[in-house]
Amino acid sequence: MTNAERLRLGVAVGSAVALLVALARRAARATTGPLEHVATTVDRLRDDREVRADVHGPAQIRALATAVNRLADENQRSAQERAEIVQRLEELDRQKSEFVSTVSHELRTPLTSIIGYLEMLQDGDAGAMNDEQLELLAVGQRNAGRLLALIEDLLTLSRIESGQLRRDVTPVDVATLVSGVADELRPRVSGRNLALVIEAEPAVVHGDREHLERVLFNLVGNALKFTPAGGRVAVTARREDDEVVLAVCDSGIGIPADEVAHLFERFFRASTATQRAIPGTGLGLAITELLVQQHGGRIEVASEVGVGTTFTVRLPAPDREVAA
Amino acid sequence: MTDVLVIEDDSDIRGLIVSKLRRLGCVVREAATGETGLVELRQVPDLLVLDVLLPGIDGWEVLRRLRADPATADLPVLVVSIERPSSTPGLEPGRFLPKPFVARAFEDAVRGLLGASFDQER
Repeated sequence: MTNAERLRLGVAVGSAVALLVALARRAARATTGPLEHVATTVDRLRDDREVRADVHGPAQIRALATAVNRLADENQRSAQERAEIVQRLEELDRQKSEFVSTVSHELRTPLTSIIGYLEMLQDGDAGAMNDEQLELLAVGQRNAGRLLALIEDLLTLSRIESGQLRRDVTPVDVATLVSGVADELRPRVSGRNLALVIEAEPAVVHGDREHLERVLFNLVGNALKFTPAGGRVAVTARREDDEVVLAVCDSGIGIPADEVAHLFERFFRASTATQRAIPGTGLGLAITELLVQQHGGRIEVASEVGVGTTFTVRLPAPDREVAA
Repeated sequence: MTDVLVIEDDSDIRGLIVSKLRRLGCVVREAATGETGLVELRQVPDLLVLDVLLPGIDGWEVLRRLRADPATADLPVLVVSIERPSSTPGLEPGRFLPKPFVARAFEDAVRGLLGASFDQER
């Protein structure tokens, strides 16, 4: 090979290499540009479900962009479906609450007349009643009262669940709360040879006074209801570390161990109660637990058949709430 | 004689309230709607017993209108309703009694609103 020939070959090889490099760069640009675009689109999809990738570039990139777009379409559709389902459920929940509220109203109107007119008969407004008539009347009155209690409980439950229950949060002294509820319930003790003992230390919780009263009223009312003559119901309140602890302890009929877990379910009634035909709606404890939970607290129960039951309510002390 | 106006749309409950008021010695006038109640109020009673859920003008609107009228601005009102009001705008001087109520609570509320003069009259 002559020198001239070597030179030509060198130039030819050099040109070929340069051309190849240029072609490779162009090919790389043609690939990375659309690929980066697809990657950016996937990134943007996190915030904006409506963006889509432009389908261009080499065939494989176009296929990738099309697949990404299809996935984005499906994602957008299912997000819309989820939103519609949530909306439907919210609407159903609102309708349910409205229904319960309307039914409660509609039931209480005739009950007002039933209770009122039965009372007039009992009071002798329509002439004196004999003992047997009064006895029959009392059955009617007792059942009207049961119906009213059931309606009130259902309405309260529905209000709590729909978040419509008004809450007026103030500092509440539990000792005052306990003595108030005890005073209100004391008439139920008289003549039954029951001891209602109060041991309450002053302690403050932040909560709705009326709701906390209801919690205590339900628990003490239950204790009195399920404790036979000669028994004892003790209500204690004290500060314990960062909690205010209310306990209602009775020497009553007790709850079988396998039923304790169901106590806070609505309409559940312990067999020890139903066997003795002790009346109740089965909603009181469900309401009590929800009200305690709304105060950031919890309720515990320990029971033994024939020995008694203790309900313990633990509410956060105000300084703990501030710290949290 | 104590003149009481009862505005209540449910005729049975109205009958119940009327009979209790008569037993207390009151002279009772009745209205089944807010509109007819407002007409009756032109002759100002000693006490108004007012239901809230009424067809047409409801109890709160009746209360608002009568409080706006100098002739009835201070009229004692006993609101008797199923729904406990969240607030009681214009209820003063007045009282709220939830339904259903027992005779004793109703009579106490009526006596409380009519004051000492009512008891002396009796």
